[in-house]
Amino acid sequence: MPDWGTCLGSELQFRVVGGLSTGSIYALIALGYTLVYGVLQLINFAHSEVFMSGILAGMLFLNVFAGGDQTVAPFLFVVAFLPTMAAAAGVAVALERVAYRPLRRRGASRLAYLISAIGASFFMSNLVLLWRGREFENFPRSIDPAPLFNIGRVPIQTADIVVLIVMVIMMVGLDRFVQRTRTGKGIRAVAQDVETAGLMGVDINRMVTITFVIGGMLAGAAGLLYGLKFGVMRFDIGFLPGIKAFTAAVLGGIGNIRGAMLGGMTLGLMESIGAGCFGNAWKDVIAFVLLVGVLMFRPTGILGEGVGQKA
Amino acid sequence: MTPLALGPWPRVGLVFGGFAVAIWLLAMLERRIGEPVRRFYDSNERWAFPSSFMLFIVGGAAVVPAFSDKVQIELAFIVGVFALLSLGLNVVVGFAGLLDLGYVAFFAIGAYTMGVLSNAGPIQIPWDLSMWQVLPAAVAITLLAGFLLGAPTLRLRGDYLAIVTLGFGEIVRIVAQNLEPVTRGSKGIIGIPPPKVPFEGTPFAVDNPTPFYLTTFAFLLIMILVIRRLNHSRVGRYWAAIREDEVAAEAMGVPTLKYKLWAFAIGASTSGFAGVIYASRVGFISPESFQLITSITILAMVVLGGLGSIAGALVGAAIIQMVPEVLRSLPAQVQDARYLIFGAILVAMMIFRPQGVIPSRRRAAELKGEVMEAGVTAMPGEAPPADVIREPISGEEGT
Amino acid sequence: MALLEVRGLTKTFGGLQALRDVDLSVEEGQIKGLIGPNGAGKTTFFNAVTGVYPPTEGTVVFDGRSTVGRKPHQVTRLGIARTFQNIRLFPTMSALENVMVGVDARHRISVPGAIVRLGRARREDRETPGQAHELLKYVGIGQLANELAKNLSYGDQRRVEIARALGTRPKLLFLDEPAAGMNPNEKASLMRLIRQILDSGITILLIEHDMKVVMGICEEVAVLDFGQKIAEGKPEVVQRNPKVIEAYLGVGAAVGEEGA
Repeated sequence: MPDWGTCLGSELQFRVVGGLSTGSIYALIALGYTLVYGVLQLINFAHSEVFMSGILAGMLFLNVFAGGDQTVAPFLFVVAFLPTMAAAAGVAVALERVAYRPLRRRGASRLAYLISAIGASFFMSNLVLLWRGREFENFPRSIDPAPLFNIGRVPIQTADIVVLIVMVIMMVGLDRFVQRTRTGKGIRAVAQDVETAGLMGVDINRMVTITFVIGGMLAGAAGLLYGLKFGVMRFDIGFLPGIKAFTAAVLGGIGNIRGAMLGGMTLGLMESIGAGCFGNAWKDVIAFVLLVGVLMFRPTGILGEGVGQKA
Repeated sequence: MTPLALGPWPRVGLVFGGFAVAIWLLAMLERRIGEPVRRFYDSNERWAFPSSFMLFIVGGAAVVPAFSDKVQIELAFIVGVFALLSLGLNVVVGFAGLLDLGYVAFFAIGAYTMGVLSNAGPIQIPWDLSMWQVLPAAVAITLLAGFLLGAPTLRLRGDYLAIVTLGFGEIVRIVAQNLEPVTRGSKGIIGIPPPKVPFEGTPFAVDNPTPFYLTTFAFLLIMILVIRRLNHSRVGRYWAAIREDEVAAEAMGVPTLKYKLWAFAIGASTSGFAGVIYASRVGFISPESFQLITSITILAMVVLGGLGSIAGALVGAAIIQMVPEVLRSLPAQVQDARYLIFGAILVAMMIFRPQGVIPSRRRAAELKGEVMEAGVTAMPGEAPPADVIREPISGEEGT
Repeated sequence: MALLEVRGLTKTFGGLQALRDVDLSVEEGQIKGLIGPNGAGKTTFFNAVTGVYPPTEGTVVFDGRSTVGRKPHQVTRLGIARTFQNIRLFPTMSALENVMVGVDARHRISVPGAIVRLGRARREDRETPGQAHELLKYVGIGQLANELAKNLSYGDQRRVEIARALGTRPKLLFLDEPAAGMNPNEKASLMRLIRQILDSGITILLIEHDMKVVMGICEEVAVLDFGQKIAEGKPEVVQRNPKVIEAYLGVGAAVGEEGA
């Protein structure tokens, strides 16, 4: 039995920042799930592999510049966002074209979409397995592992700060985009009512593609940040964060952008605190139990559904 | 078979080329004679089914004298286990239309029940139970687990149910991995004894897979008959109604939740059943044997074979279990590509032939999208349901 | 005591009040019409009474029992059957199979019972197709029994839906715009069928837009507008009620005849 007094008391503070930053990564991935769900009512099971492709792309890019000790200058890390997000977006679009669009054309049932998504997920992760093998690979380091500063007794890692900052930037950017731009309105229109949106002259296919692009870009960014924070890459690395991010999306209210953020942070925090209490081995169970629990008792999530509604 | 004097990759190309041609030929053949054969079978079902069933029995039994090599009978045994699993999942996904991605959880529960109750694990019970005695216990446990998991979750829409079941599957695996005092964690349980037979000279020895195979085959036959009978009764009709239009079904007096629960529980107990036999034969189980990929593999078997078709489930299991065996002569890289091909097949099947190898007549029309399924509704052009728990009656709100 | 007694029925969806304090009763053996402009809440009324969603407020008493809080299949087994505005048959099942699902509602079905199939279950199984066939003949399409539902013509699909609802042996039948999309001949034929059903002792509540149909067969009519009942009474009287005219044609409209 955990020592509740300690793990929820004096030790709690050490878990907060780390939890929030992991949560931010979940949030960024969750946005991909939530956007696609809002527009297509599809759970993009293969999104975890889009995330993985972001990590992979980031790693490959930085490896080009990495010195013998596997480090890169910090500014290169910032530069890396571009190719990483582009690569992940590309993978997402390819995914949509190959695995989902043919089904949309044929008016397939949702079961068919889900199975196709699963197949695509498998295909992609095993492709990487064949290419890179089973071993964990190291992500190039670009920062000094020593903590940046302390709040009280709690050391604050640079990586965590970077993740949080990037997350906030992306969130604000996305919010602006969805609320203010014409394309963003188009996406919201398609999420609310596909037929009417089409009748109003909205190019559905284009909106769908853009949704996947955005989700992919965010997942790519999440991938780079994941590499920064955790330092590893493997073919199946997307699976757990993917499931957890999906949990986060549902927790916050699937289809709800702000919900994805809230859900991600909440999950990250709870997971971190839970690890402090129960140990790392049981940490993953927390996400799954939360997932099953939320879906069973409050499927609409904390903030309720809908990219179509006010986010 | 003399190995061709070619390098590994040309051989690979040849094999895949051969597969592609074979599939194309079969597709052509099916297009020609598929409908007439199906119609013939349907109209003569009274004797057509018993005769094909008899053939199946003979074929299955004939495996034993036909293959003298123990390894091959072992393979037949594994195919049998997966055929059982496939059959069970077919009830859940194919008949009732519920997407279950955590099916392996019940398999695990059955296997661990055998492991624990046979005293091979850390927990010792005062009785010396054999497989025959553990079987009903495992069936009861998994039946209960199926009801418990299903009761709160089967109201959910298709996608959500899929994820919940996936979560459940993972929870079971992680628990098995961490609950050392019961399951010995990652180390697993070894030395699970084969079943005892109440007469002299137990033939269920460790080095003899034949009785295991025959037992599994016998259970498979029974399950086929039971499930077929269910499907051809009002229960099957209710399942079809639920799949095709859940709201209308409810309005016509169908207690949808109850029937979904039953389908789910039947699937769960079949899986638990298979788990016991598997554990008893293989003698060793660990959380490694019960991963998500196995759930997905079984799903692929059902989908490939034909959702909602009993024969399809069996064919799917056979194909997916045996193809890697047939390909064993190929270089290792190709074997690793197994799951890659797998994934590609799933996608391709959904695009080009969602009804599977042996389609069930009803499901064929549904999956091709000619039909709207409530609960698992078609996508394009349909107003997004605002409500997760129930599909509102589309277009009729506020008349 | 009326067969169906609805008092103060209110249904709110988020911000929208679809039904507001509706009182309605249907006497046994009666055929009553429920009319009103689009969006007035007529189908919502059906849904709330049959348990598709629970009423926000109000009481519904059918045959002496409350239906509030019950699931649709329970309400059906109490004796209310319905059809749908957008026909909802089971598309890849035959007309006969569709009706059989309705007929099955009369039976107690258990899953283990279906496996073992003893006595009563066996008898019921044997009789179901015959009973379903009779119903199809009753609605005039016995010969289409083995056609797949999705292949039937619109009018025939309607009939199958009615046969299916009748299969559940209802005391009260809710028909949701059964004449929609039909030509005058089909409508006349439908009206004959409805009268036949009424004569066999089944009470009917009918949502319809076509005034000729309503005037032709309904003894009484209730009018909904924006979720409230604004008039009730004999069709000729209601038709001339200024509030009703306003609801359909707008404020200040002249008295006219609502056509099909």
